[in-house]
Amino acid sequence: MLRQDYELVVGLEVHAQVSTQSKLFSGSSTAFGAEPNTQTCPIDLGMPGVLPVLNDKVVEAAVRTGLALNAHINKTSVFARKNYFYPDLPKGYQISQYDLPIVEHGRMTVDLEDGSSKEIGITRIHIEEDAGKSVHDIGDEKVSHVDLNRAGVPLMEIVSEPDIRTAEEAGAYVKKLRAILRFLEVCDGNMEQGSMRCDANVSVRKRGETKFGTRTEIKNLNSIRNIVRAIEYEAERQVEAIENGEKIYQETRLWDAGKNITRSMRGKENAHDYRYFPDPDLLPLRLKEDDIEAWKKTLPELPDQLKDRFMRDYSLNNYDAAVLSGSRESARFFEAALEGGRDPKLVANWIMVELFGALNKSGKDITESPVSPAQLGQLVGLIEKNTISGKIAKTVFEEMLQSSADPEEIVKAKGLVQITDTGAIEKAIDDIMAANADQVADFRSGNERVYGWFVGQVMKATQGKANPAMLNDLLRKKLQG
Amino acid sequence: MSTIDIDLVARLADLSRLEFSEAEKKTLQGEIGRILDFISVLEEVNTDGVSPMSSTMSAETTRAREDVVTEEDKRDAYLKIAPASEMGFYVVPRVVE
Repeated sequence: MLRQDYELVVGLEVHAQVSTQSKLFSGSSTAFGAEPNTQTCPIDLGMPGVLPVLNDKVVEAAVRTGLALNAHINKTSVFARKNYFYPDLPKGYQISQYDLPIVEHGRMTVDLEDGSSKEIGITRIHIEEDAGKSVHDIGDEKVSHVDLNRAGVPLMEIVSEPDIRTAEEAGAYVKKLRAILRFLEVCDGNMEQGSMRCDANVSVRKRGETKFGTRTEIKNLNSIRNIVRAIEYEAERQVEAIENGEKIYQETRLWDAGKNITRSMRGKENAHDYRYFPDPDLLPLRLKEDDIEAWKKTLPELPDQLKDRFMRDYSLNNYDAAVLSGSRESARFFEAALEGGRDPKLVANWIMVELFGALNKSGKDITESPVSPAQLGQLVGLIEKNTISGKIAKTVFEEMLQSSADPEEIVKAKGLVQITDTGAIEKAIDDIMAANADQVADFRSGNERVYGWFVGQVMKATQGKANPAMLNDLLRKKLQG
Repeated sequence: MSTIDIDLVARLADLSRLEFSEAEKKTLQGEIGRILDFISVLEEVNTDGVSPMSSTMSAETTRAREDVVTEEDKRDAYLKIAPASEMGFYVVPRVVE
């Protein structure tokens, strides 16, 4: 935890690969995982005499993303050259957008675990091309190997305002942004494959200070977990440095996930002199109002709308609704499990606690769930009908995870039907009381703690199948005599 | 006459990955200075209220194409004209620090 007298300030830059067949300015394929350098052409390689031609799907994706983030769409935007030399950038410049990006001034709401929400500003979204990849760990150690398949792949860089104040907010921001991109189907959001990457600008300042502290930029954040951990580490590091009277340098730092630290990348000061200028190979991009309006109509139900609907129609709280609307798959699972009029709160709990817990443990996605939405709904139905108790339901659920069998079958096969027959429960209580006169006397003389012991004994005698509410009722009555 | 200092020449050379002797830097200092003089006449124009122009074809929009793969794999031909390659990669002097 950061010291109370310091405040963290974070802005995030997210690079999202736009889901396209072909590159931003050429007809080369963007398919992931191809053999090195098999997806390039003279445009990607920076050969003389070629001209870039813009992929119109990327324009549509950027505009729709801008609309989904409540942003202003610039009718005119300009492509610029960002100049630097690196072997994975064949042209010696990256085509990007600089002072006139396609999207500006958006905002997004993030939902936090304590149930609160917070609005984060989106500074801008610009379109740019990716660089290639340098591989340093094969062959002779004096050389690097360059794969240019990624050179020219279309990206949207989505830049947030420095509105983020905790590492948790940063994680929630990236999660929400990823959900929105996936709902829009403009980016697959796969951080391991690099189709979504994140850099964090981090600074700290004394609480009450209005000026920002000197920031560092952390790169190499390839998962939400790493984003959170890197920001936590970097904030602590900066506070410690300031407290020791050291200066914070504006620099790029690399997150080392193995060691859990950020470290300085030396000698990169010059790299920030990019000498941007408008790319003479490309005319300004001018959008027609009609096109923007048409794209607006293609926007799907977005996470926030889905969340609001879940809160309104199913009376879920803010956080539960946010989690379940966090992906289309989980939203679909939830609504399918509700079929037949199940209690939404109960279904939500079973999905969020038991199902997500089990999926997490086995490293599976909700689309790979061994339990179908209908089966989960049936299980909740059995609890609602008092056929089984919540406790037994957990046993049944374990079995469902293993065998993918229907809950009714498991309950039947294992004889787990709850005892709701008053007579049977009463008999079990009577037997136990008769065999344990001492404990009965103990309870009657005021030792309330023995009560729990009796519950346990009766449950044991009924193999856990006694309806808990009925058991409770009868037991108390009988013990009180 | 506009002058640029020799450190700026060194910095531009560094950014351009070019190496110059001190004598060459001196020559360039003079030449770049004269280029800047030549175009500095532009600074005399009053541009208040004029928005920046990034293209002379200011009414046009850039051409766009459909998102279709049109290129085939010609890796061997491209690798052949590179100074060095192996295992399907271009080989360059090590770039990581």
